[in-house]
Order: sequence, then C-alpha cells, then structure tokens
Amino acid sequence: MPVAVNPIKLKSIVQTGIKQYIPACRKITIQYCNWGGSSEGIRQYLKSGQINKLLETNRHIEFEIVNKNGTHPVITGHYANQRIKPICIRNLTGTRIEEKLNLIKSSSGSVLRNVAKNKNVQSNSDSVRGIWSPVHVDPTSRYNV
Amino acid sequence: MSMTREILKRNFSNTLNKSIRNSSLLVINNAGRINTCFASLRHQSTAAGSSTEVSSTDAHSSAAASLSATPLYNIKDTPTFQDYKGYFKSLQQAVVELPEDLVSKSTKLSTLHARLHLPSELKLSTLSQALNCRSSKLVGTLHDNYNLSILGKNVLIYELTKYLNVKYPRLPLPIFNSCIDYLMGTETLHLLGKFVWGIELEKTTVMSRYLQKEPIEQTLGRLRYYDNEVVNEKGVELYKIHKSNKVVSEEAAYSLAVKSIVGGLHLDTGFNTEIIQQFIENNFIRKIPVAKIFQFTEPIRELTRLCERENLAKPMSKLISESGRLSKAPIFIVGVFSGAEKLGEGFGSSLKEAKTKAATDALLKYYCYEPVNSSAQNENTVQVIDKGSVIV
Repeated sequence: MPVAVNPIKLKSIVQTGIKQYIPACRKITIQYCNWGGSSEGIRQYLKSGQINKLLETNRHIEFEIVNKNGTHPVITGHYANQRIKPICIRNLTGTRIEEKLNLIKSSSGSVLRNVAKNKNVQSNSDSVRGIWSPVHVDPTSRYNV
Repeated sequence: MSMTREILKRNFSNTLNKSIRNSSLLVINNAGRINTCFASLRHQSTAAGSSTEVSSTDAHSSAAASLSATPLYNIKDTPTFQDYKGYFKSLQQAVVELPEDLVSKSTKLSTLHARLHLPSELKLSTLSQALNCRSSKLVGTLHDNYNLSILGKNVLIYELTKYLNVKYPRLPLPIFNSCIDYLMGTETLHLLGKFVWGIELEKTTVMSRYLQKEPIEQTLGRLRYYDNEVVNEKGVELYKIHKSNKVVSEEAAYSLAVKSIVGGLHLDTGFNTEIIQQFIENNFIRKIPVAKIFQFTEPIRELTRLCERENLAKPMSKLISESGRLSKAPIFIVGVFSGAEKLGEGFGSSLKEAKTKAATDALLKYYCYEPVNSSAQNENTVQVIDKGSVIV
C-alpha cells in the first residue's frame, strides 16, 4: 500500500475572499405612485436629482425606478444571498428616505437575529490561547481520581 | 413525480404539435404558453383591426379549436409572429455580436463589473460572453463561454497550485488535490458566483420576455444556461430533449461562468500575471481547514516509517498523565517521542486510542507544516521542497 492517507471531502461554504469585500446589495428598486400623498416625499426626492449622487457613488448597485400607481412607495433591496428587504417609505421625506436607502445599501440581506450579549465573538478559527486542561497542570498540584 | 409530470406535458405537447402542424406554432411545451400566445394574438389583431380572421372566442376555446385539427389561420402570416421572430433574431444577434452601444446600456453587466472590482481593460462584452453557456441554445458554439472557461480553469489551477505549494509544501498528493477542489470545485464556484458575486440567472423563456416587452440588453447581464425555448417550472426537471442539447445543472453553469470570467480577465488584460494573481488572491484564496481532510489508516506505522526516512530516532509512546483508570470514564494523555523530542500528543479513554491519536497528531504536524516566511516577503519562493509521501 503506497500511501495510507485518504482525503475527506470538505463541505464548501459561502465566503468572500480574504482581502476583498464584495458588497451584498446588488439591486435597489424604488417604487412610487404618481398621485398618492404618501409618495409626495419620494417624488420630491426623485425630482430634486439627489439620487444622482447616490448613483455616482454606488456603481456596484443596479437601481430600478418603478412607477406603480395606487400603492404606498416601497424601496426594496435585492441581495446576493437571494433575499430581498422591502421597506415602506410612505410619508417620508428627504433625509429620512436617504437613511432608509443607506440602510438597505449597507445591509447584508441576511435574517435579523437577536445576538446574545456574551456570544458576540463568533469565529471559525481556534483560540490563540488554547483550552485549559486539568491533566496538564503540574503533577504535584494535580487532582487525581 | 416530476418525471411523470414532464412526460405528461410532453405527450400533450406532441399531440398538440401533430394536430396544429398546419399552423406550425414554434415549440409548444405547456398549456400556459399556448394560452398566452393565443391571447396576445387575439389582442393584437382586434386592436389593430387587421384582416386576419380570428374567432372572437377566448383563448381557451381557440386553443381547443386548433386541437380539433381545423386550422383557423396560418400563424406565420400574423404580424405578431413576425414581430416575435424579429425579437428573437435581434436577441440572438445581440448575444452573438455584443455591440458596444447595447452592452454599455446593460445595467446588470456594468454593476457586476463594478461589484467585482474588475479593471477597465476587461470589456463588458467579454463579461457578457462569459455568462453564455453552451447549453443555452441561443448562440452557436463560437460565441459561448466554453473556450474562456477552459482558459480560466487552467489559470486558476496554475495559480492555486503555486499558492498551495508555497503555503503547505508537505501535503500528500490526495490531500493536495482535495484542497484544490475545496478552493475551485464546482460546488465552491457555484456558491461564489451565486451568493457572493450575485450573478443572476436567465430563466424566463424568450416568448415571455417578448410578451413583457423586456429590453434586449437586460438579458446580457444574466447567466444564460437554460434552453430558453422550454418553460422552466418549479418541480419539473428537464432531463434531455435533443441529443445535441446537453442539460447542464445550475451548479455547473455557475462554475463555468466564474471560470470564464477569470479566463476573460486574463485574456483582456493581455495575460498580465499581476492583475490575475491579485484577482485570484482577492476572490479564491481562503482559509482551508487542512487538518480536517486527513484520514489515516495506519498512523503509528506511518509515523515509524517517516522517522526512519527523516533519520530520527524510533518514535516511542509514553504516558504523560492519566485520570480515573479504574473508573467508568478514564482519560489517558499519551505523547509520542523521538528521542527527547515530543512529536505529538493525544488523549483517549483507552491507552490504545490515546496512542493512535498521538501518532495522528505527530503526522498532522509534519504534513500541515507552514514555512514561517512564506507569506511575509518572498511569496513566490519555495523554501521547503517536499520529499514525497511515505511508503507504508
């Protein structure tokens, strides 16, 4: 027998590269109504041309502006993890709309979870310090069964 | 279940095709598509008030009428059919020729380009070609991503092999191959293309795109692998329709596209090694849990042979500490020593288990050795040359 080593197949995981971050948000849809009062803010926002700055700085995101009458305005983020995040922006204006757009833009798109207070650190790597072992302490002070 | 559905559908479509051969509707796959097609025809002709006589009944009855082998009109003469034909042709032309004015209009392509931080040398048309799989029967074999994917695959293998050789110089060949597979296997590339790069799939038929009046440049940024004459439905699996049409899975299509993007980048940047190395380093190189890949069949014997080859003293297993030998749950800590040097350590609930684990640990420490300076300054200089696997 030449080599006594068998490889075990590892399961691939979703992981970006080590050096480069790829934004999770790939598309944002802005849906507004031509007549509704709740769309007043987003209509003003679109007319004022503030959105151009957003388009300039976020070339990695595809923007789609949809006119759908008779509904409240909604902005929807489409993410690489195949999920969407819709946020209703009825009656919101200027800065509040921008806040929501930023939220969608910077979100990872994953499900929101309540992170427990003492479980903030999550890592696939082993700890640098190692785990304390009772059987490796000095034999004179070791507890023996 | 899905197979029977498909068979039923195909039988249905066969009978349909036979009965309405005179009217020669393109390829009919299910009832839904015929309905939409007929509905649109009726709508168009009534709206335009054209001379073609169409029965005023609804879509269902018109489909039923053609089933009873009495062709009402020649579908090829209708303006809608000509319109659809034109749409199909211009779509095909767009995918084959990739004219700059159309390609630059495609938001999906330019955003993908920006998202991957690709250099401007990589043209959008090359990127679009990389998303064109041979299994989507839209284009001929000259304009798909087959050649690009072969180039990309070889570039990836070359660069990743170089990286692994420098980082882990002592890996045995099967483990080495397993690592390469972990970095650029079909499964990995599928996950990378779909969930990290966010490449979209083109899953709708040309007919439905025509009916929705979708602009042609929209399709250029999507991954085309599916035969777009056939309706893609949830729960219905396509196996093989024509001999020439090889059905490719979604995973394989994504992997082809990712490889092709690498190939396209290499080609468009004029085989610039620095750019391609940077791209691969940024996107493909990741932490590999190497120790988890190993599975030794005879670790103790292998360690003995290894020590013989490396001119080390014969490995001896020694008990380091123990607890509860006479209890239900004993623990033994065994170290394997070569002379005074400790090679490895293992624990177990029996002496034999602990000894085996110690030998495995020693072997892992030898094989998974990483030279200290490998990543610091001399990235491409090999510091350790492996002597090869041990023959047990």
